[in-house]
Amino acid sequence: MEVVFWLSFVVTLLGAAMLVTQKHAVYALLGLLIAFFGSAGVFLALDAPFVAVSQILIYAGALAVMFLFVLMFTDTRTEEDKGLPGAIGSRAVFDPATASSAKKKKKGEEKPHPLSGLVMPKPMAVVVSLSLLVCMVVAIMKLPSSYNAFGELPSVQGATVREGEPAPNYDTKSPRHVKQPDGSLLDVPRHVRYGETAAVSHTIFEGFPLAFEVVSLLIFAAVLGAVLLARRHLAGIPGTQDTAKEQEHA
Amino acid sequence: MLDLFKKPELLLWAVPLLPLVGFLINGLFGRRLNLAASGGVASASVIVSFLCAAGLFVYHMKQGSAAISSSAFTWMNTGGFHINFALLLDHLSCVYMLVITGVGSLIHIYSVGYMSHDEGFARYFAYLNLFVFSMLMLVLGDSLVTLFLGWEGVGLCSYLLIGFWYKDRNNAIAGKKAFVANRIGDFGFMIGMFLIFWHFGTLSYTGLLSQAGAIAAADTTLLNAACICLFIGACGKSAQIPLYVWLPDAMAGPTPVSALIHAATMVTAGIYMVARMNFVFVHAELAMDIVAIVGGVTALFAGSIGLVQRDIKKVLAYSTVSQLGFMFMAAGLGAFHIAVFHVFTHAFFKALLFLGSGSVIHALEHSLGHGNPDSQDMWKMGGLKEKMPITCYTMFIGSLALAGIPVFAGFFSKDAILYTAFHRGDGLGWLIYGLGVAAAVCTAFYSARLMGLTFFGKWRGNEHAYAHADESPRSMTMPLMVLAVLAILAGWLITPAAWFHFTPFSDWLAPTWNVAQATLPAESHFRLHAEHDAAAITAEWINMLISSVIAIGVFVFAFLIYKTSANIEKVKKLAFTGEGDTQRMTPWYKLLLNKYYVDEIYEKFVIGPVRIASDVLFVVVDVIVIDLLLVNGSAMLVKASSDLGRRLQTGLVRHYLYAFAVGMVVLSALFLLIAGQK
Amino acid sequence: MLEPKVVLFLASVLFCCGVYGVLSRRHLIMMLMSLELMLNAINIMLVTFSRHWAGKGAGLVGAHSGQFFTLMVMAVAAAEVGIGLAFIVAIYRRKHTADADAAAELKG
Repeated sequence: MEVVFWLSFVVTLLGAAMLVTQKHAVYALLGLLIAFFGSAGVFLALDAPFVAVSQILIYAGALAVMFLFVLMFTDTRTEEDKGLPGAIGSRAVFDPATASSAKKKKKGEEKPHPLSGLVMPKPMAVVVSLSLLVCMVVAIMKLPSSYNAFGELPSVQGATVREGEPAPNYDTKSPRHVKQPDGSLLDVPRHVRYGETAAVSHTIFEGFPLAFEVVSLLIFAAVLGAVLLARRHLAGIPGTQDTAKEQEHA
Repeated sequence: MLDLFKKPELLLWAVPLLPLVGFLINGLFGRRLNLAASGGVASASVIVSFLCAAGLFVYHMKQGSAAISSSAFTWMNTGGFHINFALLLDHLSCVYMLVITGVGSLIHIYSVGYMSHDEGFARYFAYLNLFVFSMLMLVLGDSLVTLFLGWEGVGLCSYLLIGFWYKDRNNAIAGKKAFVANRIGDFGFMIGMFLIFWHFGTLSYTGLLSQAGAIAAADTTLLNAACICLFIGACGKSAQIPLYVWLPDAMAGPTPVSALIHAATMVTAGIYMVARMNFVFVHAELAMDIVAIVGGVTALFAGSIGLVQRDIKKVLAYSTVSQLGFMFMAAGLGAFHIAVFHVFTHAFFKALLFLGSGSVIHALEHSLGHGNPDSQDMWKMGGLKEKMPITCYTMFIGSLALAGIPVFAGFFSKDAILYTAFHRGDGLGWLIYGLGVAAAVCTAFYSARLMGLTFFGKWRGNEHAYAHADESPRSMTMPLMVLAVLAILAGWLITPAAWFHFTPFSDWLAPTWNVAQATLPAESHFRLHAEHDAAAITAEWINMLISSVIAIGVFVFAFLIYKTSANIEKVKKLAFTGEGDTQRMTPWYKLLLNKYYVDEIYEKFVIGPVRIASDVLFVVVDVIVIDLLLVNGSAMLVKASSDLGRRLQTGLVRHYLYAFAVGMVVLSALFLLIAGQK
Repeated sequence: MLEPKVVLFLASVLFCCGVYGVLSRRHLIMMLMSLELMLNAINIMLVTFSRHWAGKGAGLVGAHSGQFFTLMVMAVAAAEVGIGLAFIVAIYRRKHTADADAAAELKG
């Protein structure tokens, strides 16, 4: 397990580094994917196989594809490709009036706000994120000694263990009804092991059924919202149209 | 009905709440109701309320002395201040309740006829119902606070109804005047309430009554101060000197309103309050003397002004002020039952006189047009007896009662008041007696003058108007007839002991004064004497003879003068000197006609300085401090600071993100530092 | 032996990488991707705590609640990305760029 963890550790960090340093959006997305796979490995090492698989399915399978899809719609070139300031070490003052590619500004538009040219170089981002890291590391160091090692998982008293399989860790609230030869029903306890799919599903439906339902509602709303946002311009709502075309009409 | 007696509280609540329901119906849906529906709802609510009141009266009579009280909810409860929203029906409030709902019903019925040509009838009936509700809350409330609620409510209704025809600026000003004068009185009333609460810790009647011993033993200065403050409130509401000026102007409202509010009920609220607090007042001798003197002076003062007024309603208005003065005379002399008795009789004959004058005005307005001052000018009337016999005869009964002619209602109550002063025997008693007799002379004179000028002699006004004047409709004359009967009979409820001993009215009210009498020292002026010895009987006969002779003599004299137009010309010569362009009013006539210039004096010495002070305040405080510094200044401050703030709002998401991230770092660092110190 | 603190350290580093990415990038899609990295770091922390409490004798629901919350975060992240990408498409359609600084209409 430790091998898996350290391997994933390295892979995840590499992916993250790639995400934040790569100039090209598709390469950056690749870095994100690598980091996702790496953290799936971490989940595996932490005895959470179901979460690991979900991670790969949702993030790598669905989200990454969605990102790619949108990247294809939009301009994949980064700021540097277009000769814009903003790269590491760049000290150029940003001016949205010139930087924005929507350069066809209306005549007589007021001057950009004085603070909009405020220098926000990458070193400052480094400082902020590193100080945050310091805070977090200090917090981790302050954790009590019980966090020095993971404890042993519990085991169910008197559970029957099959040959070659690990012992179950938890009892559930939903026993199995086994029909006896005389026709009566006997309740046989249902045991699960930590992290396996059955354990997660029992957690959901024994512990958080309402949250589970609410999240489905949330996703439904998100789907509706995404469709609405993407298609709103077709309804001719002002403020959703192409600025350049609007100006042509005007 | 008998079933309801098992739940008298329900009946008790129905009495004030029914007019409130009527008010809500007329106030909310009035626009969709026609005259019949609107007036019907309003009248029905008051009539049913009167029936409930009558039922309660019967129940109360059977019950004996126990008061009925019912608490709806806790109104205020802060610290030691606890006020229930509760009703209390005892002997005193029962009398008032019956008068308010009874006379109120008649006036509602009368109004259906009177207001038939007015487009604002729904608004009118809504106000009238609200008034009846407020007045009932005033008399049925079980504490001074509940009384004050009704007290303010009737003030509001009075304001609304005086300014009912608000399109005429003068009416609106009259309404405002009434409101302001009442507010000055209310100020005194509130201070009186605070003093009582400060010292005795409660404002409910039962709570105060239970401390009667403590009140009797309390510091006289405090009691005098509290009672004088309460009396200032009564002065405002019951139109006594110096706050009486609003009542004559209140005649700007519709005439039935004058009858109900400004003659029969609301203005007697001050008497009610003084009678209700009798157990406090009797221990404040100075306050009682002030009450009596103010009452006496007001009675004479207003009566003398009434002698020369030309406006039929103005005469009645000053007569009301004068009669209220009589009531306070009685109260100030400790004869609270006589004061309430005069309230009772006065309610009938004064409502009758007002409604009769309304009938006259209504008839003349037909041809003269609404709001024409000629329709109220007695110099331009005369001989209306032929046209309006019912109005004439009923009003004649009313004016006989007002003048205090024997066997009519006013005789009994006024005679009892004068006898109280006569019987007292000290300097104050003789002073009050003198004022009272002089005021009685005025009363007899102007009531006869009013009848003579209006109904007898020759018509002196517009011929066209006389030709079209006609008796009023049935809905207006019926109340007049009922009130005329009551104006004869009501007085027989306290007959002089010299005739025969028949005093159901004072017997009924007797429990109200029990507590006060029990705490009074034996030698007090305010002890009521039940037994009448031979000397007292003789004194009563003497007093009765004097007042009867005066009343009859003056009434006949005045009536003979004013009933023929030729004599009127002679009287005019008394009032004026010179002829034609050089004609001048004699000084006394001028003084009376201008009401002793009280309004002008107030204008110059009270209102003027206040106006200058408020102009200064307006410029300094309002324009400079508030408008310039506070309002515009704070707005400019906000604008300047937001000009700074909006520079932070760059619209760039990344700037916000930076702020967010830096904040996160700072917060987590702080959290670590604080957690590390534990 | 696997140490919780080491895993938490890894998660912290990932989180700060995400913060750096969000702050330094101007391309909206890049910012969104960095945001996903931050969420992922939180997921790792949640699973770590889940395993930690399982080792301290928590019951079935208690021991797995961290994992459950991870799944919730994934669901919310999916919703968020869906909406976020729709926004980006809308902005791109209007501005012809996915530059975060192009949309500054809310300037004070």
